[in-house]
Amino acid sequence: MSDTAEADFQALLRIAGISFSEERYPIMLDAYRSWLKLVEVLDEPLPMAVEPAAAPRLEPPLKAMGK
Amino acid sequence: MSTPAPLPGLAESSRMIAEGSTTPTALVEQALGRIAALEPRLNAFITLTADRALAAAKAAGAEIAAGRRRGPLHGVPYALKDIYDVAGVPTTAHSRVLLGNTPTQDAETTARLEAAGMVLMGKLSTHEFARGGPTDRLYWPSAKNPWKLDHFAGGSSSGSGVAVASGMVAMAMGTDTGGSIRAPAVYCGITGLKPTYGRVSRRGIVPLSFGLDHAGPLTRSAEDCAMSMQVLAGHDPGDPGSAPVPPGDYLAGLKDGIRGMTIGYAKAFNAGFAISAEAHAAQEEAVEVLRGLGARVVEVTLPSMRHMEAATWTILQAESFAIHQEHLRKTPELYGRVTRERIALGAFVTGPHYVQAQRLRSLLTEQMSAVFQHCDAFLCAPVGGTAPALTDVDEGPWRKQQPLTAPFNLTGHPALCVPGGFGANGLPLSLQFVGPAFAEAVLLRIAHALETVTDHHTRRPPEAWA
Repeated sequence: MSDTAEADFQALLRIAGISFSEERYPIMLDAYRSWLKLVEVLDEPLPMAVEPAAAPRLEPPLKAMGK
Repeated sequence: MSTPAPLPGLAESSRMIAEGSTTPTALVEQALGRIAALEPRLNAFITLTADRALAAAKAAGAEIAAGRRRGPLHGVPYALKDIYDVAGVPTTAHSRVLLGNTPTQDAETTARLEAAGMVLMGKLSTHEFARGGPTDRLYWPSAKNPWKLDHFAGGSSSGSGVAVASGMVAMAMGTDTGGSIRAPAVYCGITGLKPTYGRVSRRGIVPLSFGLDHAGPLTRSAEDCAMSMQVLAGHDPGDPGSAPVPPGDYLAGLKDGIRGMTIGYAKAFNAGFAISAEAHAAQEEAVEVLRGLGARVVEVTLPSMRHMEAATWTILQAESFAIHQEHLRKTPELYGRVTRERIALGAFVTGPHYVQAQRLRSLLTEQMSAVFQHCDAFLCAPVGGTAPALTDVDEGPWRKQQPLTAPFNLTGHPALCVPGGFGANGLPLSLQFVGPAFAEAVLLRIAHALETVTDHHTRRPPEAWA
């Protein structure tokens, strides 16, 4: 996993447009590996109907409510 | 000159003003004297608004003397974490990135407190952008724990915790995205409330994570906290996350006791973490006290912590990175190392994971709400024990132990931390009560009941260092 993870790590940093010093690089790579472990559960499938919590709730315009 | 006595709490200050045994000006002068004496060691403040405070106190005193007292908070000194906007006063978020940033409008919460007549003493230290750590090298020093200067004051609302615990102000505002009101309350031995998501406006507060940020008070007692919420709670159409619900009454049932209440005890949740023996003992002792007060205590099971952690940190990392990406690309050197690295973790979040985290959040919130079919509120540990020494604080980008406070930022339920005893090292221990959505009044009622039979909340930090 380590080779792939490091390549992905470098790609993600490049896409984000950020970098770290040589000294901090291994610490951030280690953090990335911990991150991958944490988010494993996000790859578990959810029922298709489950919607995100962030979906906005719209209200009809005041005019349509007769106000 | 000797150090002035600690400022009384909010309720006591209010009572003293009402009965005429003190004035707003006397309280502000006492606060300024105390700040001058303690601040060189505690670093609670970034900006002290002394002249503004004296002028506001004088005006409040005149209004009160003329029979125009606005309410119980009129004339009482408070302070704001330096991520709340105050028109004409710099907001720095404790960061060089925002040097020169002076807002022209008050945050909604600031406006509410000012309208109630409270007197602003200044802006308080925070971890940089509410995300960094206590030993980062920043433009201003970090706040120090008044119980033991070389121990962690908690964060990110560190200055808020320190200013209230050390008696510089009667109340301070903090923000909480993963525990940042509750951790300083815990480590500084005071009361901290993270209200329900949407209960208190976040408009005019520097964001960290739109979906997880909460604003709330840090105080010396449940009553002080309830008095603050009377003013703070309420719908704000200018905050997209604000809930269109009635503001609630936090004082009406505050002193009614908890006889007949069912309080859950999340024992298994606690057992999943490295909780110290004395923190565990404080929880067990609280259970007995609650039973003694007439509550029925039942064990409850919370949703999967592993799933809550994954969803919480995915949302937090992605949103904070989205906010800071431009600055991190162009001027990374302006950030402290801890802040920069922690926010950079958001670069690792993929689109599908962010959406999955939000979907999981829906499910976990439903599961957490279902816990309250069995109880009116539940008790769980907020942290593993007393404040760690600063040398032991994990300031890596990746924290090995995720905070026990964060699940309730994800689900949005209100959570209150209150003093729960002391460790062998003399530092405070704390209890965390979590309630159904918009049931802050229930939590405050439990906390007040505990205060009637314990004295943890009355103890002040020793000032041998002062």
